[in-house]
Amino acid sequence: MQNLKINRQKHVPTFSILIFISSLIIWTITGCSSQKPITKISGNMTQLSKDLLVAILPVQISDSKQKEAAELFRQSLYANFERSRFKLVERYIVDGLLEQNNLLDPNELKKVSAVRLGEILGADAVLFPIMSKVERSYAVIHSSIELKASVTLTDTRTGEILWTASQTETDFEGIGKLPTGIFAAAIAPVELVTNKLNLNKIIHKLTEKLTFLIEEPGSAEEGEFFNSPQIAPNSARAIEEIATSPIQISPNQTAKIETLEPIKKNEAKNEIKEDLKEENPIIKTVKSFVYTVQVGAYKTKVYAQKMISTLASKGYSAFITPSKKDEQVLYKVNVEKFDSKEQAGQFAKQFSLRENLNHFVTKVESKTPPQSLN
Amino acid sequence: MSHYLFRFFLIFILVLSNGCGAAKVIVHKSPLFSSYPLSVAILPFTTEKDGNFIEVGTEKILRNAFYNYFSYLSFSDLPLNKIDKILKKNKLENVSYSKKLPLKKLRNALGVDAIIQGKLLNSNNFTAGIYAETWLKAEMKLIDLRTGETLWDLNHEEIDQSSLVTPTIVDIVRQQMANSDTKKAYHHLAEQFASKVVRKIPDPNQIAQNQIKTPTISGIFANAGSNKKLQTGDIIEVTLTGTPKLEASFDIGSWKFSIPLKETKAGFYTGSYSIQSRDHFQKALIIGRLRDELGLTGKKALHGVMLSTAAIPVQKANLKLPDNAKLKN
Repeated sequence: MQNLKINRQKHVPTFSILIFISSLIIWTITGCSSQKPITKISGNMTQLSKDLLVAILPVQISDSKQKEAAELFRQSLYANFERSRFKLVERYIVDGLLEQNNLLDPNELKKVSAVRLGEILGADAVLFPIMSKVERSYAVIHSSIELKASVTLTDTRTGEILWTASQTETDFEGIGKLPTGIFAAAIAPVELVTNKLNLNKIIHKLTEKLTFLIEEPGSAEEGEFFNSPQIAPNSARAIEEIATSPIQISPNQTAKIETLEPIKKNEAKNEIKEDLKEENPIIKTVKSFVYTVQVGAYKTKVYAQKMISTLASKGYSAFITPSKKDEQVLYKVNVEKFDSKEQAGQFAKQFSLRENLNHFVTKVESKTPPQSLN
Repeated sequence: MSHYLFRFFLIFILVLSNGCGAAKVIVHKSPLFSSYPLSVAILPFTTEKDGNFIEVGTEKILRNAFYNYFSYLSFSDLPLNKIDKILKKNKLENVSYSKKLPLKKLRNALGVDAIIQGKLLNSNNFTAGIYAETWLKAEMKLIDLRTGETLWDLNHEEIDQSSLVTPTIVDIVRQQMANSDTKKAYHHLAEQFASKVVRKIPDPNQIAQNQIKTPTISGIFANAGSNKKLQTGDIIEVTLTGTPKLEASFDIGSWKFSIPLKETKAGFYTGSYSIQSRDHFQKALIIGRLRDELGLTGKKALHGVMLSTAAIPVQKANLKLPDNAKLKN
């Protein structure tokens, strides 16, 4: 009897410890688990205008099964950004303009520079969202959903990355939780993976955490700032190309441009007065034809459109001119419009340095004012 | 055995009736019609006072959440604060949900083709012992102000609850805690409500996309070049040509935002910026902007020009694209 008592006394602490550890594990791993988002913002974030126009791009996905989650994620991003200080380019405008520019595949968007996307969408910043993981698992008494998403906000005027964040959100039901009833333990796992509303709830939770800093950039802690400005590589290249491409010349400014110097205060006043006296020189120079650089000619329109898309992604303003030859329509691909042959030739020289494409200067009809060297 | 069956059915019924059902929207007119309205204002939501319990202010929470989600659809929607200001100015803030609408007056004042009206029927937040519940019930409708036609309407309720039937004890505790913060609980539930409802509202995506036409910038010119550092007092003069009668402006990188340009002749906009002693920027592009009344914006970067100021205090320059800016790999 005494031995028995001693044995029981020995077992009680061991049993208690076991219960305590089990409870601790259950409490730790129960329910919706997520870490704090990994996020970095630029020092410029708090200084940006509240009128900054942001375009949220379609979500990049790696698997077509992620489409539904990606759509919910984008919808949730829009709803959360509505609470930020920025203005949004409406979703249908973003999608419509991307379609007009043949940028239909979200995964292709990362190849286009932010500067170019800014011109296409009229946005001051673009948000690239990525849904990298949507994993659902079900094993009768246990089920889980795991989502992983990230975002990058890039300034279209400088190519600077203003904000990046990534977040993983997991939710599960089953034996990991402490069931209040045997049936609840069986139903909950099924409900979690089959119910679309759960996916919506988890995505909403993920987006809320992910976008917290964009709603309140002032609350960023020291470690959450970039150490130095981060420029998106393709935007840096695009900006360099814009800066080194031939300067656009306004006919009334030719004399000044030669020196490439800004006008001093007093000179400027006189210059503006003179401009106002004159007839509009730019409108005046509109001709029935313009010079352009032809880079290709195709019998199939789709190939010409593909070429346009490639050129557009590099920042060129390209267009198609159809022409008939021997009853066959030929779709000519041209780059930029100029009001003089010299300007077109100057551009063609720059173009040949950058692109490995056969090309020549030619004349096309134009109903719109020429784009000159821009 | 019968005890287990009873429990099974009880759980089954509760799971089915716990307010997580999909929203039902009754569509009276398809958005495929070319006359479908594309500009919408969401009017302040009213409340059903007769015999129902409604927490003060929940109609505003629901309207805000609904607006945030509704903006995802292909409508051009007025911001809520703008709507409220216009309605107040025109003494239209007390428009009834069920009575005849002053269609013409609303259309003239708001400048939109349609309105959304919402009526909160019930809102409740309750936490007691092992039971917690937040409940929202509302009806909404889209009315074409040009015809008075109701294009869709809905009646939806959303409940967030926890009790003994909640799968885990931890969930019960967690939901009780969340529910006790009333405002937050309503906010979360309103978002769930809005998210579900918006997914069922017909989206006039196709006709909206066909009508997108951004303002065209045919040319942008400036009197500045890249080979000289700008000094205080230097004036950058910018000229932009494009679609006439719009709002034009230009940016200097991200340093100067939206410097206005004035239309001196049809489609011919001009303006200038004088460099101030506080201006310090490096490698900034000049970017022109043309915006129409719907907010559609055309943008174009000026080629061949990159601006930099002469003196750059080290600390400030580090914030703005310095020469040694690191490229992200």
